Amino acid sequence: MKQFLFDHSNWGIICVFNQHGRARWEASIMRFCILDTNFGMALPVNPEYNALNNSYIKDKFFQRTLQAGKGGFMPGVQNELNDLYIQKRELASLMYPPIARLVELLHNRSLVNLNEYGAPMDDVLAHEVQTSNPEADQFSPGVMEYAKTLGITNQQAYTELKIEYETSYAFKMRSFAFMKMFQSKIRLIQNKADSDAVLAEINSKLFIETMI
Amino acid sequence: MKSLIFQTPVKFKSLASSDVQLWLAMTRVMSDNVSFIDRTGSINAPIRTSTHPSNALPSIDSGFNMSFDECVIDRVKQIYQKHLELQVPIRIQWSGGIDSTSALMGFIEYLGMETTRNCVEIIMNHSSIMENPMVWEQVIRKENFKIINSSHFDALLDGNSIIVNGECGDQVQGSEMLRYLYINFGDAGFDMPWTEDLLLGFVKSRSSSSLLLAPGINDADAKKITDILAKQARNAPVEIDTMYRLLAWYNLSCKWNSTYYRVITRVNHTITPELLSNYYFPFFASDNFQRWSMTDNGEKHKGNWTTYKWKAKDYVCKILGNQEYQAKHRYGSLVHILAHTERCIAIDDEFNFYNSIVPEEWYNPNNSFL
Repeated sequence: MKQFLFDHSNWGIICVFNQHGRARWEASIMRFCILDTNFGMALPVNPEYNALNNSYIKDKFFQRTLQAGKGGFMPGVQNELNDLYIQKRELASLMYPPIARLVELLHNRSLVNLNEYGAPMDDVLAHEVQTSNPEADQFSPGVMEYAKTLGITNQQAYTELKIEYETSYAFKMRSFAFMKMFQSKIRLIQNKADSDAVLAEINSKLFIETMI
Repeated sequence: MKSLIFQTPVKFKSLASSDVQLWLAMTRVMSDNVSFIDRTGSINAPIRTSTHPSNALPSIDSGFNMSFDECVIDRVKQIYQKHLELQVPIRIQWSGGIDSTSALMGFIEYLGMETTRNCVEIIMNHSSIMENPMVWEQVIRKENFKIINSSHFDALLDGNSIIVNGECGDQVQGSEMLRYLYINFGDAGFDMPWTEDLLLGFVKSRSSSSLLLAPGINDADAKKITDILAKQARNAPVEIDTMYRLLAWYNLSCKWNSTYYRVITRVNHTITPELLSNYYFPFFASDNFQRWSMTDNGEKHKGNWTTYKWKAKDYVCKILGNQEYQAKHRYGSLVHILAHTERCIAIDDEFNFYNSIVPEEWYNPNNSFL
């Protein structure tokens, strides 16, 4: 399924996000940067699903639809095409390159290292650790069960679980901070020069300067 | 005039002169963004650079015959002595990699588990466990070492502990540059006598795969870089006979500062040479490890890429009492830990840290790249 962002003024699609796993992330940043927009979803049932991308919508007007069987979008009604929408679509095409690069670098450099085990575990581990008090030799039921299963002491289990969620939290917070920083810069983009400048800064800060 | 003991090459990209661009191309041959500084002084960069006396190449001792294992214990003794003198804990930045694991094993061998646990704390995060679950389970977790989360670098080196890490391990044992030999020549590459033609091939190959600086190099520039590097090798204080020893030599002589300071660049407070000499111990940054590196002692490799760092792995296995660790291969994990952490881009010889620089102010007209 592809995600897109649509304009509330006419439900017109301004940007399509089709990178699996990152689409919602990219769309969320753009939604912050362009006022009065929201998420939509395209489904393969629509015959134009495969063709739907940012090149395809550059000169074509598509609107979000909630009608059953339409796959979430349809050719736009021409009298709903308005200047505000066109301006947002153009802005979206300028903002997309830095957004895509930002997400790619934060993902590939930091977040890709984090393990995922079926159900998200960070908050579970944090809860178990934070409700334990190792100085008083008191451990949560979860920590004790983990220790028993692995054949280690409660203290050892506590230490291992703590390092796991703290690492995950640290990586996520670092990435989140950079995302917020650049999100504010992307929001100010008005033309190609602005877009290129932000893209260059993202490349410098999140790629070039990370080479060790 | 001040000179830089650490620099970030891409920050000089705006200098358009041909000598700077050639120097950047040579940097690219070594590695993207490596702070290339020739410790022998043979290669003069078009940027004013120098090596702090504490990081000078050690004198050559023709009678040197210490083994890897002896160098480990020698380094542990130095650090432990400093611990006794300063009465602060030793904190090992354990990435899980071969080098920092060797350091930890050195303490365990020399001090025994009980004393090591009492004076050594482990700075790590979950990536360390991912890289080395066996040492985590069999040693660090099992023996209840004190753990400090490594996710935040900026507060390191505050004078309250001695920081030890595996840095400069690649510099004394070789680095991923050696993989070039394996890719291009197979196992035979390690013992091939070095020639300028082979070096030229290396220069061209490496410069074509750059990520940061414009890739590709013309034949004339490749030849100039080869000449500069070949001259540096011919003037080396040790005999360099094979391609392996040639690339290992560049690693030791020209990439040292880059590795020594890269963790330091993340610290957010004032650093002095005194602070470093008392509280910062990259484990392999000892004179004897460097002499070991420059000696043809048969301990570097066994003729192929998979035996790279075999001696360090052997040492870890000896202390662990099993051979499981032999399956470990080099993996540059530090980049994931350091990625997206704040750092300075240059350090000068008076230990001023720079977050920005004016490239023109550092230009050196008397250089090897004219």
